[in-house]
Amino acid sequence: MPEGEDLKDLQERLAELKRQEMGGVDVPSLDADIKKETIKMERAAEASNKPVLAKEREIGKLAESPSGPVGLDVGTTHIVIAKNETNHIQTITQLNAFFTIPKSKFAKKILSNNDILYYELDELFYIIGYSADNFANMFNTNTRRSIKKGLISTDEKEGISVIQAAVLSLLNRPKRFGETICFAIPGEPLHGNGSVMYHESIIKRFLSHMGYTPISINEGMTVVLSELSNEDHTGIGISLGGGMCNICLSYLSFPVITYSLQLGGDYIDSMVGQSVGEPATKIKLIKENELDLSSEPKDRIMTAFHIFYDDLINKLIESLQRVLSSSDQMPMIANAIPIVLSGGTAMPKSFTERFMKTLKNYRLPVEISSVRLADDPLNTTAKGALIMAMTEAE
Amino acid sequence: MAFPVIIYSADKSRGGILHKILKRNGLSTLWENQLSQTQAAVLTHHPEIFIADIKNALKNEIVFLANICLKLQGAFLIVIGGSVDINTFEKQVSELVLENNLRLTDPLSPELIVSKVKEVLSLREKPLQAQQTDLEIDLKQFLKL
Ligand SMILES: Nc1ncnc2c1ncn2[C@@H]1O[C@H](COP(=O)(O)OP(=O)(O)OP(=O)(O)O)[C@@H](O)[C@H]1O
Ligand SMILES: [Mg+2]
Repeated sequence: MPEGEDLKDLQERLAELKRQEMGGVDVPSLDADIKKETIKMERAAEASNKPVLAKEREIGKLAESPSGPVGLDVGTTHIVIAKNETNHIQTITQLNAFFTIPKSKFAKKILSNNDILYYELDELFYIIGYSADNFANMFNTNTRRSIKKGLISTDEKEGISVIQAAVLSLLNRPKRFGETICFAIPGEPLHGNGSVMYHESIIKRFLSHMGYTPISINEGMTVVLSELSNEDHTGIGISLGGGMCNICLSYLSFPVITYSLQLGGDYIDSMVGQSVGEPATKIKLIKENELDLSSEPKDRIMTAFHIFYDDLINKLIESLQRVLSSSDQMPMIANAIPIVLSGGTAMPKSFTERFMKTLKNYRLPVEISSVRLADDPLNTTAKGALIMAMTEAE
Repeated sequence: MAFPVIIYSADKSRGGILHKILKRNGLSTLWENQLSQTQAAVLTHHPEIFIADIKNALKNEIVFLANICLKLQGAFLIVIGGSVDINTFEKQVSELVLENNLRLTDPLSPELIVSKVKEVLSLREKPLQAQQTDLEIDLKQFLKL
C-alpha cells in the first residue's frame, strides 16, 4: 500500500462525515419489529455457534467496506467490530485511546513515515488507537481516553471525534447503503453518572451518517445472545470491562432487567496503583500478564489485586441481589438459570471460581444453575451485537 | 386464522415473553400492543381467552380495556399487573358483571399463566355442567379459598 494512504483515507472520511453532519441527514427510525422475534432467534442461534477468529487492527491496513450486517462494541478500553463469514465470525479490535502532540512539520513527517494513525484538529495532532499506546510509551506517559467509565463524556467534545476516528480505522462505509449495524450500549448506571441516552445518540448519529442503519443493544444482553443460545437465551449475562460491569437478566431472549456499575479494570488498576505507589498503566500490564486469583498472593502488588478483585466481585453480586430483589420487572422463574461472565476483567485465572465462591454468600431471588466464562471474553459483546444485527437485517 | 388466545400488553418484554411462552406450548396466540388493534382483534377472533396486561397503564387505557372486556362474549379474562393497577381495574369494572376472570398480581408468572390458559381451554371443551364445577374448584384451589 502506498505510504500514508491509510492516513489520507481516514482524514478524508472524517472530513466527509463532518460535511454530512452539517447537512443534517435524518436518523432512520430504529424501532425493531417486535413480532419477528421467533425467526430472528433461529438465525441468531445459528450464528452464535460459529467460532470467533479475532485480530487486532493491523497498522497501515485500510478499513473494509462490509458487505453484510456488522456488530460493534464501543468500549472504554477497546473498540471491536464483528462480521459474519461463512464458517466463522471475524472480529477486529482497536484500542480506544488517544494521545495529542502539537502540530509541526517535523511531527507530521514522523507520523506519516511510521504509518501512525492520526488526524488534525485545531493546533493538535490526535494519534489514536494502538499507535497512541506505542507513542505514549515512547514518551513515557499515559494515553487519554475518549470514554470514561463506559460513557462518552458530555463535556469533552474531542472525545467524539476520537471515537469516530477509531471506528473509521476499523470500518468503512457499507457496500449497501442502509446496512444494519448493531452497537452495544451500557445499562443505566446504578449510581447514576453520565447519560446513556447521550452516548447512544452520538454513536447512532455518526453511524447513520456513514450510511448504516444503526440499532443498539444492551451490553449485558450481547453476552446472553452470544453465549446462551442452548439455554433459550434465559440467564444472566455480565460483561466486566475496563470502565464498567454491565448486567442483564434475560428471559426467553427478552432483556428484562439491565443495569451497570461504573467499576471495572480501570478501577482495579487505579486502586492497586494507589495502594502500592505505581502508575496504573504499569499495574494494568502486570494484571493482564501475571494475575492468578487461584494462588496465594506472593507480593504486595498481587495482594492488592486480590483485595480489589474481591471488592469488585462483592460489589457486583451485592448489586445483583439488591436489584433483582427490588425490581418490579422480575418474573417468576421456576428453573435455575445460568450466569455467563465476559469482558477483559473476567479473564484472570480462576476469576470464575472466585465469583462462584463469593456468590455462595448471597441469596438471589432466582436460583443459579451454573457460572461460566464466555468463550472469548474480549469479543463476546461484538459477537452478540453481530447476532442481533443479523437478526434485525432485512 | 382464528386465535383462541389474545394478549394485550404495551410492554415489549412482558408481552413478548407471554406471547413466546404460550406459542411454545402450542397455543395459537395473538399479541397486540395497541388498544385499538386489540379491540379489532377481539371482535374479529372472538377469543376463548383474553389476557390484559395493565401494568403501569394509564387510567384512560384501563377504561378502554374495560370496554373491550364487555365485548368478550363469554371469553375467559386474565388480568395481570401490579397491585395498584389491578385495584384501578377493579374499580373501573365494578359495574360490569365480570364472571369468568382471574386477576394475577405481579410478579409476572409466565409458567402459571400457561397452565391456567391450558386448563381453561381444556375445560371449555367439556360439557357445560362439568365445566362450571371444575372451573370453580380449580379457581378456589388456586385462590386458596
Ligand atoms: N488477561 C487479562 N486479565 C485481566 N484483565 C484483563 C485481561 N485482558 C484485558 N483485561 C482488562 O480488561 C479491560 C478491558 O476489557 P474489555 O475490552 O472487555 O472492556 P471494554 O469493553 O473496552 O470496556 P467497558 O465495557 O467497560 O466499556 C481492561 O481493564 C483490561 O486491563
Ligand atoms: Mg465492554
